[in-house]
Amino acid sequence: MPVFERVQNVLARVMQVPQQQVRLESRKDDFAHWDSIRHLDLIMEIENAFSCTLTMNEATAIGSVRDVVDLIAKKVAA
Amino acid sequence: MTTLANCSTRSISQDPAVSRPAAVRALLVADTVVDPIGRFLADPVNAPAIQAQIAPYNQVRQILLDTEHPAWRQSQDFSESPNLLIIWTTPAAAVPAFAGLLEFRGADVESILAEVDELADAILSSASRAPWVFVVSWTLPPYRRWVQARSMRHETGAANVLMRMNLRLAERLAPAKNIVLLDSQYWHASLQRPSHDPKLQAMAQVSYSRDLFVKAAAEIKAVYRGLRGQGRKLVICDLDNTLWGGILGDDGIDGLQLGGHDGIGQSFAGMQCELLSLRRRGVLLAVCSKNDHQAAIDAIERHPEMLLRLADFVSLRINREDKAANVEAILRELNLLPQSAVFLDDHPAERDRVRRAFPEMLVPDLPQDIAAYPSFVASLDCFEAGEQTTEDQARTELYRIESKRRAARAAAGDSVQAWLESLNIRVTILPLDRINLPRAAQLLNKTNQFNMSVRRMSDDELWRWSSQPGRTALLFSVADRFGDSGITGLITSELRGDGSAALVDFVMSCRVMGKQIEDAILARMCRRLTEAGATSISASCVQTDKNEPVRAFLAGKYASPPLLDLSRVGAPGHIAIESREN
Repeated sequence: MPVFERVQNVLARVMQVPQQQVRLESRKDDFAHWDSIRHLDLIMEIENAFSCTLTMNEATAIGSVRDVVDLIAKKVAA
Repeated sequence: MTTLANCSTRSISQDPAVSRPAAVRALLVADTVVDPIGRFLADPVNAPAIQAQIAPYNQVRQILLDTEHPAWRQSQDFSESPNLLIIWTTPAAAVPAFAGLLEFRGADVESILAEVDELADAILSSASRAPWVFVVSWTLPPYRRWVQARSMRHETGAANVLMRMNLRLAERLAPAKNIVLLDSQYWHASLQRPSHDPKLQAMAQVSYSRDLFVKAAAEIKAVYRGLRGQGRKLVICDLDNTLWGGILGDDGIDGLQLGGHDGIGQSFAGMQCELLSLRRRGVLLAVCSKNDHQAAIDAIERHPEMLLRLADFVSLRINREDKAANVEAILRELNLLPQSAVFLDDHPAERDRVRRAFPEMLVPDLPQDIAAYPSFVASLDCFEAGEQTTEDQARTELYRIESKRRAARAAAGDSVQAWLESLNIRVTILPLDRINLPRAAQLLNKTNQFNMSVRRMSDDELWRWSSQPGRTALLFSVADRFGDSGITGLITSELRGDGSAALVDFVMSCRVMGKQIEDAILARMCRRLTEAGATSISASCVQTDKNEPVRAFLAGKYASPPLLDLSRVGAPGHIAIESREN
């Protein structure tokens, strides 16, 4: 499954929205539930889904779906 | 970023896409940020889904002591009072005097325990607010390395005092039967990945990793299920490559891999050991196997390394029929529902068959590596049972055994002899036969410490040697009231025409050394030889760098080496011998 679809899956689950509502250009403000708690949930679920570890800088810099997809692409390539 | 510490009371709701009626409502009171656990508690895949309302952070005493605290008033998500109150505190925050010790500011254990008592009183005062109260026991932060040279020191070490705190808490909470103290030490220890994530700590004061929260949620649910009588009550096992290594129909009873010194045999013995342990806990065991019925019965009863015997199983379905049909017959016979049972089978197709037939039955995939079978069974969390729901018969037995143990321990005091006598050691003497031959050869070839002549022989060599006139080979198995050690020793002898006899081999597993079993075996063999006409018995002991134990034992038995002084050979009174000799 492509990275975007997997990210879409994780975000939809954590933010409690239908999957199609998670678009590449979606930003934090587009999700009603994306608060500090959900941000942590998102980080934990991304790490779990992609078997990777984010640094604190990477984790705090996430503000959009694209940020997540780019970060995963970078992690996978590394 | 706003830390979770600043957040007010929150309700964690589950994903609406998989929303179901909430079965359990919980109020979670904590002095540390535990919000991430909410999602895992709410997950309906691992029943029950627990809807957790997380009370304002770090107001544990205020909430517990104030019956009017807003946390007790249900939010819009809760129209009724909670089914479960979870109290999750950390030792340094809950017991400030302990923080002093932890941070080298000094503290005395009495002040620490006084604070524990105070918290225990607060918990007890709120015990009636919910049918069940779960209290998370204390652990030190896993990343903190306290001074290890002093950590366990009496009354001053951090780990030592923490144990005291947990014990005190357990003692103080014991009168309230609806309070369960959860062993969080186990949560941390059982994780294969870190239980702490420094990033989460830095960003939001979350002291635990995702894995720890997943584990904690699973354990909370497991304990809750157990208290509600929803623990699994029956394990239905396959035989070939599940309880023993190999295929009985192909390999025969002699060819099964079970016990002994090889890794495969040990893994299956370990698996049986875990199942036996479950049986002792009150879980029922049954067999469902595609095998020849009589051959399987013979193997269960006669294989010397079987730990589980026919008496351990409540139902046997050993035939060539469909496994789902056999499972159904077992359930019907025992009057149990599929949700009460676990099905263990190494074969993926059989698992799939049973899983499809009984979706509510737990049919776990066994580990790829059979070495992990025992730990896999040991780690299953589905057999949880609270005192109220333990089956009467098992409870009776458990209490009876425990009461006997207490009496024996108290009666034994400090005397080794009294302790030995309390063990109720039973030694069974067996003639060498084709079934126990591999085990006998293993003992000869792998035993180093208690090995008199260190003869290394193959199965066939040993069989041929022992088949000659005048030669005797006896194995012995050892059991005491705490368990069965199986076949753990071999002694062989040769009686010559002139009346002289010699012990040829004397080997014993180190597992059973130190209980005077060697005395009993030696006495038995000497008596047998004497009755057969021996006028002298010798025991030549070779010297290796590892067999000091057997040399030390025999040193006290000689008239002049290698001749034994039979007046120094005698069977200790505390060992019961059962002979199955020819």
